[in-house]
Amino acid sequence: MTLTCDQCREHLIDYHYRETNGTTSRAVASHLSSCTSCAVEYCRLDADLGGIAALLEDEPGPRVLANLEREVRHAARPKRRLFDLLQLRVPIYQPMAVLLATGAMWFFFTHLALPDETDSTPSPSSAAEIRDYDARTLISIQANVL
Amino acid sequence: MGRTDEDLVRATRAGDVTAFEVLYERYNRRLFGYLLRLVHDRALAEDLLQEVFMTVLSSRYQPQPGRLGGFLFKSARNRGLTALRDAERRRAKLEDRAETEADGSFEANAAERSALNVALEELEDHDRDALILKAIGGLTYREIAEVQSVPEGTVKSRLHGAIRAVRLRFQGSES
Repeated sequence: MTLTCDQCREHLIDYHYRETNGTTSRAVASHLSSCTSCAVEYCRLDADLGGIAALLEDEPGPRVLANLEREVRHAARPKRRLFDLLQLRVPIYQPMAVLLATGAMWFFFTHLALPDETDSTPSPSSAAEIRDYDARTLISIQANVL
Repeated sequence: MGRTDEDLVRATRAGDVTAFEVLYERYNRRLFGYLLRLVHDRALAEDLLQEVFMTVLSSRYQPQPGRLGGFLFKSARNRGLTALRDAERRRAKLEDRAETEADGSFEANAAERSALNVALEELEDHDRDALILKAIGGLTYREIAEVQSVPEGTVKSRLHGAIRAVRLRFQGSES
């Protein structure tokens, strides 16, 4: 692929910014090596674009770097806050185990716990012992005695 | 051989201040120059620059080879445009503009800088943006196209036109 001077100059900006494909880059480079006027034009363009870039740069105040350095140190410092604890990843079996343990304790204390010895209500066994008790019988016995 | 951006980002996140200083030295002037031309307010541009570098510390940026420059300039552009939309800051920008331009007057190349500023001000906003993103941001045509939401061909023609206009303005000011 050979280029004329006009075609070459069309590509110079893209060539400078490395935005041309391999074939075009080689063609431009080849043309520049053999054409003095295009090479001079490219040097001018290169200098202008370099100058524009340099002029566009500016220096921020020193406080920016100082603040950022402080942030870098702060960000790297190990910290453990309550919110971080909430974000900890835990295996799924852990909350399941907690729930099961809580349920088991509830079931045990509501269904299987031993009766309280100090409870005044009669137990099923004592109720059976007085199942045949009749208060009228007791009154008739008392009447006979008296 | 210098360390890559990705190495420096990882070291910075681990608390290596020296690595951060290298990274900062690599990008701060270009980013600040871009932000300053976007918001026209030195204090605001410094705040935005700080925010942009802070995004590198956060996990929002995943280090990939050759991507940091584009990421920083895209982040700077988004933050700058958001700040410009703030009505109060826009008002402050207008008040401080003269002061900002006067800040650079002590520099040796103040005349050239001033001529460049004039040339840039004469460009359309999107042409100027494309030129600055390319000239100091080093973004590819594709990245600029993504940022500006236009085809790559449009970016190319905008950039070519902007460069021609600025060079013509410079040649005119020299003669």
